[in-house]
Amino acid sequence: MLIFLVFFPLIIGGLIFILPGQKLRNGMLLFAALLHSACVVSFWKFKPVISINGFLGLDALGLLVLSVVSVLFLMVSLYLMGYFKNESDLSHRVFIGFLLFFLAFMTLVTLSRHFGLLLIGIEATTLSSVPLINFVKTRQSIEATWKFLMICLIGIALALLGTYFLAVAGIDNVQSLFIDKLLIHAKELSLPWFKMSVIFLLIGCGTKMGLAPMHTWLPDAHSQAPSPISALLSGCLLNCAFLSILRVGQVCYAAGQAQFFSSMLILLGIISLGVAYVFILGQEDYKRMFAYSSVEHMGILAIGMGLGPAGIYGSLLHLINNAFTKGIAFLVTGNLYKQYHSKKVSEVKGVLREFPITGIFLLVAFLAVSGVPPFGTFISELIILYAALIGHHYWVAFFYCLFLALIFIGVADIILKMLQGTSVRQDNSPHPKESWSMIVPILFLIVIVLILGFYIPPFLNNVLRGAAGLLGG
Amino acid sequence: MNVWLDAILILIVILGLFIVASTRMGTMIQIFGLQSLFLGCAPFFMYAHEMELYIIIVSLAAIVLRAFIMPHFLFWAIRHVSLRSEASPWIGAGTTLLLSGFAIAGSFLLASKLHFPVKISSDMVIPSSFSLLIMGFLLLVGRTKAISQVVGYLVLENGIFLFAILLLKKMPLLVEMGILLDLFIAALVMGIVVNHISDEFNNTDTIQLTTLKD
Repeated sequence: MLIFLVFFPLIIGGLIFILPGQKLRNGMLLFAALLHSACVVSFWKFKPVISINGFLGLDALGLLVLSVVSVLFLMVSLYLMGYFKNESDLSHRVFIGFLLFFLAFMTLVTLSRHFGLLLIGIEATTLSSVPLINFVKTRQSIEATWKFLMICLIGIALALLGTYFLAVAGIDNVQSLFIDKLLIHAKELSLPWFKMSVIFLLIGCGTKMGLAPMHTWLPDAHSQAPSPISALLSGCLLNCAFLSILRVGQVCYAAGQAQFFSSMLILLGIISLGVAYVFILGQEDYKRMFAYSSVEHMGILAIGMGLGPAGIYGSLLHLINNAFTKGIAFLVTGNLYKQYHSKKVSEVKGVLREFPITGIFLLVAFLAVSGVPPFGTFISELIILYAALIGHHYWVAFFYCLFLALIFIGVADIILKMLQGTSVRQDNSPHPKESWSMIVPILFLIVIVLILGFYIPPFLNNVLRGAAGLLGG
Repeated sequence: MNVWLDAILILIVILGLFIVASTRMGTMIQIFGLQSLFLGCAPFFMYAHEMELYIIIVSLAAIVLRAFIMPHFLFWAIRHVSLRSEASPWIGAGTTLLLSGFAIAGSFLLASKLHFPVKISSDMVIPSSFSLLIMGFLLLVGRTKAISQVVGYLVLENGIFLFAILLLKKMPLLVEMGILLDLFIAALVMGIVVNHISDEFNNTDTIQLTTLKD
């Protein structure tokens, strides 16, 4: 079953390249996304068995990230139905095909139970997203793609070296990189090599996750990619990278090195918040602003992970909230770009008056991204703050609150300028319509984030607790 | 047999120095291919007494992909590029060479401090691997041509592969092949992007890639 989940998007993705007609290919994409979600939903009810010699398996952590990926992918594929009009045949083929490959490899990352396979998956997600980011093929997008490719590949190479160090650490007793085996024998690992491997893996996967100071590819790639792709990068890909860091965390916890792991995560997290603040302030490109907001939220995830049991629970909850919020934010920027043909804040004015629905969505995106109640992000950010306070990490709590407040002001300044005022559009040509397929997915995501702000369903709570338990939470 | 293994390792590091010192793209790619060829042969010497089919498969695959297909592909990527040498690198060839010398010394120093948990066939594997890693890094940060940076990345990957040879028996074939395949696709994708860059900007200088900033 698990192997099917990895392979069917690959097969359909391959089929896409020979299928004629845009409608048919769109239909196949939607079918694949629905099938994927259906499988994932069934996993919540029936626990799948481990397959191919223990290489693939699903635990609570994997299930959490897999579900986020699946839901967001479904929404993005719905959104894409209305997004692409009049694309040339070839580029449409390439786009949809690689989108499905991307899904397959992200699934592989969430399912793999072997560190080597995990890194193969991470590298494959990088490679399959290259044609997606470089879709428009302007000079800027080529530049963004180049940076993304080189920085992420070097990051993954370092992570791979870290994985080999991990193998060396266990060379005379564990003799394997299977996560389950490592967890059982974690206490016997040779400590110097193990610590070195943790550092390399953190730096490597942190690069992919967009933690500052290794985040430099992120704003470029997010701002140059088509908006639905930015949503997937921000909501799915970064979380997959975070999952790989969590796998390292699992081993650290089992080896009794949780302190070492969490102090590094807190440091990287605080730096990310600081960097995000500096670059959000006065940002001229609204997609870049949301990209830096991604850096900020990855920082929050990292901080939460370093703050002990309550923080770990909050961080996992924030993972879900942040993924869907970022989905909303970037899909809205897609609508905005369709309507204004510009990514500049100064050229987008009076959204509320001209495009009421998009305007309201933008407002919601702003509130949810900033963690304002009643959205789910508020609850999870609050839990992380609570964890910092009960853990007596007062300095962490101080910087956390300070940067969140400052970033809120920075984002508010930008978004409110865009929402208010009268349009700067000169021509009085009729507005492009706000098509249903570009509204419904956003609405659906908003509903999820709103519900999570009021109520965490028991089944989700169980999985969250189970996942936190894996990390010592 | 250890003598032969050491000789090959020395050769690999010297070829690394050769790559670092050259500024012509063609030379860099060719020498990289040669280095990969020796690298692919290293497992045969290291595991000479305990050969397994599995090791032969991985080594042969590494030789074919790294030493032959990738260099060919890189030449394809720059086929339209007329200016084929590094005109104004961030760090000049001489400086890089000097830094590489320090890097090799540092690697030996570092490796002597690190205690490897089990006995290995040659003490030179780890320092050579670290030296290649650092040389790759120097190329990545020091050069401005996209293709030189790709070669830098591949040299860095060669360093990692050299380290991986130590663990060849511990890694499942599936993972080993997956990593190799990923690297191959990575080289492919990088080649295609380099091709895009050279089409769009008329050469492959990454200095021009500076429109995106805050």
